Amino acid sequence: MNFVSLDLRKILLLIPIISLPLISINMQQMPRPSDWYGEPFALLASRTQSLYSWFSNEVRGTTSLYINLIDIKRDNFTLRGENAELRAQLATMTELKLENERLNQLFAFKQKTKMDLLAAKVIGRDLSADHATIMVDRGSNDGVKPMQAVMTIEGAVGYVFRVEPNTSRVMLITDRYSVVDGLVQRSRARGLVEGKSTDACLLKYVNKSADVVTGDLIVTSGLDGIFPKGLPIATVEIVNKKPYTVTLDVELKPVVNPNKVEELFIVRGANQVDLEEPKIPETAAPSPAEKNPEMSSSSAPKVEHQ
Amino acid sequence: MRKISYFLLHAIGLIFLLVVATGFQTSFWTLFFGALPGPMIWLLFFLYLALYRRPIEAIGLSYLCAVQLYFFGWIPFGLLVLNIVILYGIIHLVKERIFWPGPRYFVIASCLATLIYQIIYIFNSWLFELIPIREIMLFERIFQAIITPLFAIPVFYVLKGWERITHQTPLIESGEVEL
Repeated sequence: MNFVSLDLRKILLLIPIISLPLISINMQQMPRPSDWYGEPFALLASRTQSLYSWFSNEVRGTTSLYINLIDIKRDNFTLRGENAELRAQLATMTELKLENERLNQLFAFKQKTKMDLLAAKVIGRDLSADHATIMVDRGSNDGVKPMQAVMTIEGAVGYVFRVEPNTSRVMLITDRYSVVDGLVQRSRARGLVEGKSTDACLLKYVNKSADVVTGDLIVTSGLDGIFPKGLPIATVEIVNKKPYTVTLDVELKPVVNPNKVEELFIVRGANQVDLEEPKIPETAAPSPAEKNPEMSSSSAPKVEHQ
Repeated sequence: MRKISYFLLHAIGLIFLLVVATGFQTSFWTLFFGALPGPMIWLLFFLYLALYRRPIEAIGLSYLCAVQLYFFGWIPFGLLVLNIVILYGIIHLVKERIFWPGPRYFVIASCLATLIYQIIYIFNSWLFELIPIREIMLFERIFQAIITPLFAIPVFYVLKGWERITHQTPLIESGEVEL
């Protein structure tokens, strides 16, 4: 069929072909629950990714075993030398480990009492490099629902937007469709964190007079009802103050590299949680670090529950 | 009746093969190579349909494949279908002027189709998406155009084999003609 020379029949054929995608784009503006006819396709996609994830883990385990056998003789010699060095470090490390364990116990206890976390594993990534979404191995059978926050211990990763019985798709904060309400931790200036590319975000709609400098930490405000308040999102990389604009151009670097995330937590009931420390005036009361010098250690978790 | 049954079997098999290929790209590849952009194996299916199937069959099967692909990512369905239709039109125009049967043409066409798809996607994103592409990511796109043809030959023979099994006659019989 030659499409270059058009006649009435071909024109009539072309109309539905072209109109379908345009109608679909138009319908996309109206959010609606997933249709029944999409479910088998979604199920097929999630099952395949789970299967591939299992298979690749098995292959990775087996191949690494054989590679290790080849290198084992050479490694043995090197390791003997390192062993002696490490023994010397062990005494110091034991002390630090004990301190870390104590702090971890404190952290875990507070986490248990405040946040309902569900551990999940990344099993697949997005079809297109232009979108930053991942698939995790937890779904509605585990209590996952759309618009639940996804995080690691370091900070925010994204949020769930599509749920299947055994898997869920997570929109990373670096996706251009992702929007998270954020705060500059130091100055409390507000803005919206939007994705830019695979490893960068933007802080938008920040008043030009707001106090934002390079290195500032951006945390979640909790106002979006998805993320708990005070969860680190990103650090400020570049601040541009352009003339004739009312807002700042702020580029951010996420605290969690979304390309390297393998295990993460899904937060259930995040809107009841506030992770930020209360602001206590220095003259009124000593800080927790002053009260307990152990808390000021570099190994202490930066995020604290109220 | 028998012909329709074979066609339905062909369509189901095609979806299954697409799922296997896309699963490899989105799960297996990323678990091994991390952030390194993966090959667009799914695009090879659309290229094969555009080159070797009749227009109505090709577009119908492409739409079916697009429905499945939608669940592997977050690309808006309408945009995905529009990109595929435009890509189909461009491939069709090129094929009418330059074409020779065999896998070598398919390999060269896969490299060009990957690049053309990327350009179509960028333009359509700017035209139709509420939040268009903010960064071109040139390295990722060029890398994908280089790596995708590596998978073209296996895809070509698998799809050709599946056509033979399900008694589907290709639009143009491909052969092993040397350049």
